[in-house]
Amino acid sequence: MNPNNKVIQIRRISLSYKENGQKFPVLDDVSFDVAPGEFICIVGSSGGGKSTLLRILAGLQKQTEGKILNMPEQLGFVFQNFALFPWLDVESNVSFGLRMQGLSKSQIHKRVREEIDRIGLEGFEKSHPKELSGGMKQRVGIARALAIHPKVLLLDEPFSALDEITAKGLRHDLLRIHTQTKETVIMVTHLVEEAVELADRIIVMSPRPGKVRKIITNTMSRPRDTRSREFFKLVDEIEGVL
Amino acid sequence: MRYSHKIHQANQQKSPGIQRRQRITSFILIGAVIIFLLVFAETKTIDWWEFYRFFLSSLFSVAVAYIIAAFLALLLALGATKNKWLENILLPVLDVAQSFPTFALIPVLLAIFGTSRWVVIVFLVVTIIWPIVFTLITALKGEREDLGQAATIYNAHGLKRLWYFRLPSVFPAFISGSIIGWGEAWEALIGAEIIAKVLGVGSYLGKLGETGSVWQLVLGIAMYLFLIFILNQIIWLPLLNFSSRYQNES
Ligand SMILES: Nc1ncnc2c1ncn2[C@@H]1O[C@H](COP(=O)(O)OP(=O)(O)O)[C@@H](O)[C@H]1O
Ligand SMILES: [Mg+2]
Repeated sequence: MNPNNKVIQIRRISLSYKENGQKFPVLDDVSFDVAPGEFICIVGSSGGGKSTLLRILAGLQKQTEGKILNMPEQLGFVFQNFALFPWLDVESNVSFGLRMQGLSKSQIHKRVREEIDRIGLEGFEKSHPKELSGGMKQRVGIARALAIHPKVLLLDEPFSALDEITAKGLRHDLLRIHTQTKETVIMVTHLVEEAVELADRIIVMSPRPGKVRKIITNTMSRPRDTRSREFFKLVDEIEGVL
Repeated sequence: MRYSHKIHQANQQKSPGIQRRQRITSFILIGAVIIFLLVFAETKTIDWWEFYRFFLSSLFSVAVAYIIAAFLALLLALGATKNKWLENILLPVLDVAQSFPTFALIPVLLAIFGTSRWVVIVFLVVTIIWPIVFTLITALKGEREDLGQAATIYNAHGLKRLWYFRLPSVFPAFISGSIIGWGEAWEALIGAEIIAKVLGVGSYLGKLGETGSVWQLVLGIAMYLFLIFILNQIIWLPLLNFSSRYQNES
């Protein structure tokens, strides 16, 4: 963890779309903090504005009201449907951000090697996205995000498009990497169990418009037993809020 | 090729074996053409060397026109989809412009350039440009939003965005549109050369139609089609195959 990192402050974010003169509120007065190194999960039902919130955090979309303080510039983003560049092979997808930043060839090579080994993509360097399974594609998505050494890693339902067994493996890998690097993580999910397994704190949102219902600190020690009584108690508590 | 390239692409995605079979078929056909050329170069029904010379100068016109059209089409399509404001202005303009009958342009061009190759080239530019522009615009409008967001997140801005994201992402559409435009150019070429009285394979075929026998005209047209076919096999088919890897998975 970088000691110079400051707490990210999300303050009173609102967003609404205008359609035929009518206002459609999507996010209403969303506020929370994110401490450096924290693993945050945002849970809520679909259509609740979670992706919109994440896009605002990433600067991809402008909020109607509110502000975000201390958000670092160096961000990684992992997409629900992977968003890999189909014309690039695995290696070039992973190195995309580094090449845009203009790193030297040898630096790029070293970082790509590291990320490919860490996420388990050895042997697939020259494959194109078309030739990969969903799980492998998302590994590329994660490696591409981590390669730039992001200060904050944003993930939008990264495992929703995968079958449960694949998702489980990827969750473990993500957690392992987070434990190693201590990168700040903000992840959106609609699965309460996923949030309880991964997060230090869980932001529970209610939909239409998206509002923060409750913020729950998850004190369960790691590695977490997803079949323990404690685990189910927390899941029940969150589902009660939803 | 103009209409069949989509079928070709679909076949290829289903089974790569088809691609090899097609390549073998192409080789056999090209072999047949070469034999055909050798045999008929000896028969004196048509002055074949003159025919080839005219074909080359027409090929030059088509190639120059294609390069100009492709460049302008990219500019127009990227411009028309840059933002809502430009789109609202440019799309209606392009729509009106593409429905303008291209042959009506020839008298205007003759007035400007006189009888020169440029009349045909400019006419061909106008013929080739529309299929490229509109396939590009369709592709750009239908582009996956998350890919653009990924490009933004990972710092592909300005010229880098154009070169490393925009252009590769429209490459398959660009090739598709080019194949259609290129095909239409060869079709329109004959009429254009005859009307503009510019020397080339088109006006040569026109002359055969007037002064030669039906047999000569049929031979000339057959050779014309064969040569275009060969160009498709050596230029567009490999590009089409290459571009399929640029395509999004569905
Ligand atoms: N461009 C848009 N115009 C109007 N409404 C939109 C637009 N984009 C998203 N929305 C609406 O915003 C709401 C929240 O969407 P989203 O952030 O994707 O939710 P979630 O990720 O929680 O499923 C949805 O109801 C959606 O219909
Ligand atoms: Mg979403």
